Amino acid sequence: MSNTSENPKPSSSSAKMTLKTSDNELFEVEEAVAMKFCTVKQYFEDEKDSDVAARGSTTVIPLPNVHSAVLATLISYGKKLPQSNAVADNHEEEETKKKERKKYEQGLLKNLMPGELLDLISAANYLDFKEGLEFFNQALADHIQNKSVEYVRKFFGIKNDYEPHEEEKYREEYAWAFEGVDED
Amino acid sequence: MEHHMCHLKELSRDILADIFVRTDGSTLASAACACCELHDVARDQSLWRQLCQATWPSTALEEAQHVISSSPIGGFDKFYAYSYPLILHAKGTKPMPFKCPELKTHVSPSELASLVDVYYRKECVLSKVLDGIPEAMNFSHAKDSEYNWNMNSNDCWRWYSNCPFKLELLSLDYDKFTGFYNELSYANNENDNHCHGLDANDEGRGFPSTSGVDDENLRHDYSMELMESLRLSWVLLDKKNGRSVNLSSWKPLLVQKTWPFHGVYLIHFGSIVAVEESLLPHKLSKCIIIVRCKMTEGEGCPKWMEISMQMEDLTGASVSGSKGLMVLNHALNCLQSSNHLEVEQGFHQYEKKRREMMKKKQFRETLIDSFCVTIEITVLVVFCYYFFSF
Repeated sequence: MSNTSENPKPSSSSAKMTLKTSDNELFEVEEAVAMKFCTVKQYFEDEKDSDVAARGSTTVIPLPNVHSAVLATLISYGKKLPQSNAVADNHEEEETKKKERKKYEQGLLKNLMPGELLDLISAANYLDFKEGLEFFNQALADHIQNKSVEYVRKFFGIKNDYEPHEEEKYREEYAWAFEGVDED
Repeated sequence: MEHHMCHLKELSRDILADIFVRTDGSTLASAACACCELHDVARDQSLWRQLCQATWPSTALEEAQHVISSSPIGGFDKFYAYSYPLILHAKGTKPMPFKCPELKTHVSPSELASLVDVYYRKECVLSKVLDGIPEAMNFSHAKDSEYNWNMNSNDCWRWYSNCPFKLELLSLDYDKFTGFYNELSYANNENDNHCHGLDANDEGRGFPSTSGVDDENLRHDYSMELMESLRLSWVLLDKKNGRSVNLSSWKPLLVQKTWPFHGVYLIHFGSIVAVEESLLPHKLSKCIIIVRCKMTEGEGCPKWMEISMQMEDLTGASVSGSKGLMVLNHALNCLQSSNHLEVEQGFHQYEKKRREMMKKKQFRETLIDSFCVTIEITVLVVFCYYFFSF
């Protein structure tokens, strides 16, 4: 899956772009999906301006801050989103697609480790992938909702850098929030 | 572990803010206690403002912005911290206040503001802000403005302080909502209670429940649905001292179908406030938020007829206006808890105490009655004996 994009159905734009990750893996992606990554879009438009468009599909866009596994997930999520250039579907097809997307999203989140989620958010931010950022931010928010301090530390992988008296002071300040919290 | 440590630092403040704005205040508070970096994120007042507006949409209204910003409350994080937990009545709680050492002896109605939000099926359906207590400040705000007496503010205050405490947020004419005068049904069976909630044994409201007559089949009973789906928050803000408190129980304490107006429901929310014995006997006051609404089949949301606040003491007697304001002052400084189960238990304890007290009172009265009757009979017998023996 990592080297070629799955493309069983014909899309209106068959132009493909190649993205190169930090670990030197190449991903061939449909233009419609790649354009959702605004950073890529900007890079592509800058290339066009400098009249290199003739080389089109052979342009390799480097993404030094993104690991291949992360990019694969982002691309696969991008494909599930409604495409801006897709033919307008009737209501039933739209509903089916929505359900499929929801199922995919649930499956994706179930198997995700906290560290991977942070990687995805960081990458989506770098790529300026708005829909992806929104989705993963929400997923993270849902995950830490109503959880204890220890859980938040474990989740973000952070060390407690407070002095004991400082921590006590803050816990007292926010004491109102700590009843009814999942210890998990 | 080290790889993860980089991640938090890689995530910019904007992203962290975007994540936390999707959670709630407790989550942000937990994060603030986790490490310095997250504490810095949690100091962002705009984040707390968004959380307040998401939790209490009334805080987004213009009047609310004005009222909150002009009070010395010190920021939306403080507002959230004061307004999020509910008032807790726990056994063994001392009735004296607790966080604020000085309690003012006189609270002015203009110093208080109410921010009320009503939620139905997890969506906010009504938000309103009330600045001050109109009935106490300005008589022309009173409902019965046909009695257009030229009262000055002193008379108005005197009138208000001696009448039973009432704070009206919303009140519409019953006439608009009825039209069922021809369908009066008489409550034959008072045991057939359609009451739900913690106050289910409370019969003294003056609203006997409807009996199950046949034409009721046409009207679905929404009591359970209202119990499960209706939520209310009434945040009282002390504009002068910069404190706020949530006077509601969040979930309904009582849902009752009123008679004779079919489809009209009476719902109670509220809190129990501990006060000194010098203010009220038994040292407890119940703040009741009364909601009257009409439910119609086919309409998604209730139609609001009345939302107001009243107060009563442990015996069920109304509290006067001036004492009511003192109770509100106590409420602003009393024990709170975010644990809703504990709060509910507090209500159960209060109701239990009240029932025991009413029983004792009744027993005492019965005893006195019997004693008096015995004396009267004895006197009569002695009198007759002497009268007829002559």
